Amino acid sequence: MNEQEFARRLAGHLCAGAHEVDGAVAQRLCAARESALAAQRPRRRLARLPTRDSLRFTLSPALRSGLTMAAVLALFVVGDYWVTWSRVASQEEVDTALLSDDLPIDAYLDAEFKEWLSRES
Amino acid sequence: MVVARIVVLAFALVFASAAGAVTPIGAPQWRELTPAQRDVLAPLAREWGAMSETQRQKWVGIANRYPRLTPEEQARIRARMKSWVGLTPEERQRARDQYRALRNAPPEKREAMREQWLRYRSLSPEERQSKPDARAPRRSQRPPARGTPE
Repeated sequence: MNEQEFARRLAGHLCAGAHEVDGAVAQRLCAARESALAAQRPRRRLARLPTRDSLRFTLSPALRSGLTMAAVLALFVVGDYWVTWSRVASQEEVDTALLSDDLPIDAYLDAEFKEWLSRES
Repeated sequence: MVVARIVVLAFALVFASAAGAVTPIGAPQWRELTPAQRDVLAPLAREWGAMSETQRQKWVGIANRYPRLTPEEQARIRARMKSWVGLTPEERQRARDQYRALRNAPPEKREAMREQWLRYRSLSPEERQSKPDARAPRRSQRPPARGTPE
């Protein structure tokens, strides 16, 4: 006799015996069953909530690859935007100072002027 | 699976670089500038449309800093804008590098640089190459003449 057959036979005996119990015992059994079912309901609801593992298995590999690609793309675009913005800010500062300086632009274009200055000092 | 991930990552990098090369930073058209910005940047009105987004954004920043400059500095900027835009990117970068290098000089040297630049301009290429000692007036080898005893 395997486990399933034993359970079926036990259930049959219990069903047959349930008709023979008196009223008070039947009421107690009914109350116990109700409380057991009530205790079981919230656990079932919790089990239906998606967990990290269940999500992992519900996302198809193609969708996961797509999300990875989108994340990498977004990272690069944001990084590039930041690099461009910092370069513009730096050039803006230097160009303002250079163009408003009392030395003309030619002084900064002449590579030999700096060397001449160092020789003179 | 690992190969597929590497392929996906490689594609993402290629697309990301392409997207990064054209990342807009919100540079305005000439008509979108404020009247004050247009007034400051008037010397660049013709070139504005041909400028890159980063160049336009930089000039907008310079126009926004402009009111905080002294009248002399404002005049210098307006006078130099056109010639600055006419330089090649390499020349502009060289000027920036040279400016950064000379900016770190002590204040007293910075003040003297204007006169030194004028002096440097007045020298011939040969004189610029020669050492300061070589240009100094020659001292007489003989001791200074003393008064002859009567």
